[in-house]
Amino acid sequence: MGKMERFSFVALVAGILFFLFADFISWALPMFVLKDIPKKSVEDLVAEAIAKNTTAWSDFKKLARYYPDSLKALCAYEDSFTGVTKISDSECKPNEKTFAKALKVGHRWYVAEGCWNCHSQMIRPVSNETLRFGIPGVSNHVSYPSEYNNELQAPVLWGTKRIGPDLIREAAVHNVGWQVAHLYNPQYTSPGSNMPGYPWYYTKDKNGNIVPNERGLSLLAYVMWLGSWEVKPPKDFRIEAKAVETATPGATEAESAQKEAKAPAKEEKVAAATQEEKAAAPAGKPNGQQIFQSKGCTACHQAEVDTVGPALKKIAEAYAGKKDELIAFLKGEHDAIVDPAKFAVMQPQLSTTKALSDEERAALAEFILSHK
Amino acid sequence: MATNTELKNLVNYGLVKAHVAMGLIFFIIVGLVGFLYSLQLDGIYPFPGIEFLSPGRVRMIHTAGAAYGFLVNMFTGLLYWAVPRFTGYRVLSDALGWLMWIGLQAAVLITVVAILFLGMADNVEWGETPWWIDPIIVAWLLLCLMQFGAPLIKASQRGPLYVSGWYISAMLVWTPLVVFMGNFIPRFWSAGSGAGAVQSTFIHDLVGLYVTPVAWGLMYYFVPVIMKKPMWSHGLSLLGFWGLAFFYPMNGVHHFMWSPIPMFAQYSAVFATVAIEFAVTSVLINFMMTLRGSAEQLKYNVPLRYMYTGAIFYWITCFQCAFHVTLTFQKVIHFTDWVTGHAHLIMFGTFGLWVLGMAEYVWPRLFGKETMYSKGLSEGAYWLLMIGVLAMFFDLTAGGLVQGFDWIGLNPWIDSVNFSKPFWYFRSIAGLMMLTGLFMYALNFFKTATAKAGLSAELREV
Repeated sequence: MGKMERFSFVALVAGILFFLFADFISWALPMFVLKDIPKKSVEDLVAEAIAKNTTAWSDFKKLARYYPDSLKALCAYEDSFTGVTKISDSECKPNEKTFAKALKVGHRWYVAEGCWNCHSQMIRPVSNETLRFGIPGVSNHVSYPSEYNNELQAPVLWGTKRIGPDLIREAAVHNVGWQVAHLYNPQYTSPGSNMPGYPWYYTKDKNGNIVPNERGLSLLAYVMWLGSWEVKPPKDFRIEAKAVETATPGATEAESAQKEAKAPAKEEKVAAATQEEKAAAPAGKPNGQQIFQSKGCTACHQAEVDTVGPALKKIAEAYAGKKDELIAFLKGEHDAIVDPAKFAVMQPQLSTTKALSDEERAALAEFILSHK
Repeated sequence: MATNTELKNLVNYGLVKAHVAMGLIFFIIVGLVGFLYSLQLDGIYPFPGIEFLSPGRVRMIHTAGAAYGFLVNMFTGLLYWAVPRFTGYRVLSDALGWLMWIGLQAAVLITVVAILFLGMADNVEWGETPWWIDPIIVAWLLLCLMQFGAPLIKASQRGPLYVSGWYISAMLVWTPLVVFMGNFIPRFWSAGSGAGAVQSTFIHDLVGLYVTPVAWGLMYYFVPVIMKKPMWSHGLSLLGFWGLAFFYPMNGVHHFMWSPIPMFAQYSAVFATVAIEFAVTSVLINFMMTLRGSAEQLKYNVPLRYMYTGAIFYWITCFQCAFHVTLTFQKVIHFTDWVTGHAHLIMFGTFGLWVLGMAEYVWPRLFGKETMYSKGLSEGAYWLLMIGVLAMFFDLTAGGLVQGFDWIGLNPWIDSVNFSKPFWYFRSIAGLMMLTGLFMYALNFFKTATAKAGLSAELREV
């Protein structure tokens, strides 16, 4: 017994031997089991995203298109902590280099702000988490090892606490415009949220609009990367899933209830409304209401109350008798008159309404003006 | 039996004072930033829109500051008191001690600047220090091994070490290994699930292989000294130590249950966690049996009361742990405030109260006084801290259950925020109680150090 109570015995047996044995079981063996999954660098991830044309890549291109000055600032951004360097002007457009830089810088500030203290990045196979955080109709995958085996998950960002929702499928949940408004002031998009605003990721552009700066652009690109590998390319799931939902009126009650449950909190009411009004939709002629709901307008506009954007009622009042002007606005050819201060949030969304046909736009304007 | 003069020559009073004082200062700072962060959850954060006071950054100061600012300072100060006294040898070098003191404070302050102002942090829980600080911490811990290893080695050449010596010897070897493993392997060698397994091991090892052994080591020293009698059973001491040493390092993965880490690692963590509760219970039985016949002292002796309150909280947290590490409990409580309540009961309720009790015993003696300045402040602080942390524990445990079931129910996310608000308000109030207690404690400390006349012990010795 006496020998057991010496420094050398304790240090060797408890200090070294037991420690190594536990480490062998706790992480060396798991690492060995997972050894065949290749560890990807940020460059690998970017090349893959571009080759597969994932939403992370299209969202980054969108960000670069909406905020060209911020992209220029990002190219000039240097940071010894992440090791990113300047990118020359000739290469300063959405490409592998700028995308990789945005992901690295975005990841750095995601960690620095402690986002992971309140937002986990792991979907567990229990507690209905695949229903809550999965992508309806596209992915109900739980978290799996290979989606974490990359440079942006070293150390891994699973987190241990949720105040806000999980973010590992975020790419499929909200669009870029929503994220831009949310990060600036979460109250705009999620009334009642206790998440702090991050105004230092924004700056004023030459027109006085509040736009993300180089760090903000990177952080948004990083958040839009999360889960983008689960979104089926090349079409944007966020539109596709809605279309699927509206195109199957024959869904059983159980299915529609499940769909409702899967829908993110804010859109729940809308999903229910869609169910009711589907039958009334006439075939052939474009339906303004259907467009309004399927293109994601509901994320920011409600009928009666102001949320992120002004209420439809308010818009209809401002444009009463001026349908042409509303159509022009939807084409991006008219100034914002309802709530110009928040136009920065709407501006990126206009690419969706610009892509509509003239007929569809007219139907959409008609639907909006019907709210009186 | 060494005389008082000999004991005085063994211990460097200045180092004890400096470390304990800094530990107390950081304890208050950590409490203040924790309270500040809780205001964000209540929706009344006083500094919105200021980059370097962003709640997310402030929270990292709360956790990293508690580890390196508060606990490491306090424990090191108390080790400078206890180790020479139970081994009978001085630490390696006083000059090295002062260098280490400066190094530790510098490392903590640089971390605060890096996290708040430079936006440099690491996403390892309890290892939020930016990666370029970590080599400094590892080097510091190796110096610690030399500093306290010297008297322990000398003493064990002469005969068997006392129980405290086993715990502290093992801790001195474990800690540099743990910090190195947790901060470097997930970043530079591994990624994803492998990194997650290392990180979870690190989270738990810093608690289980640094805080716990050093705290038990000190408990095995201070409790018999205060009660002036030996521990009840040497066999149980042995069982407790070797049980802890074997099972504790394997507990880590229970932080990431239902994660993509291979299931055998998750099962082994559950098994080891349930096993360790038996070791913990054997330690608790030993301490409770030692108290038998001396329980009267708890009425008058505040340091001893701190230690036994902490010990009971320790057993409650461990008992709770044996249940909530199981896969069934994890379904509901993982990611919720339940875990936060658990963490506060163990870190504040047990280790916080222990070091406060030990410091309250040591502090007047460092200044040649026999008792603290004010009995009233001493008692008031104890009750506020004890009731405060217990209230926070029950509040967060209940709040965690509400959140967990709300999430399973697939209600809109904002519902869980709204349902949690009453619990978060109450938590802020409990935090305020704990802070008030800390301020009273600190005032008593300051008054004891600066009081002119020697304070008499008549009132307290029974």
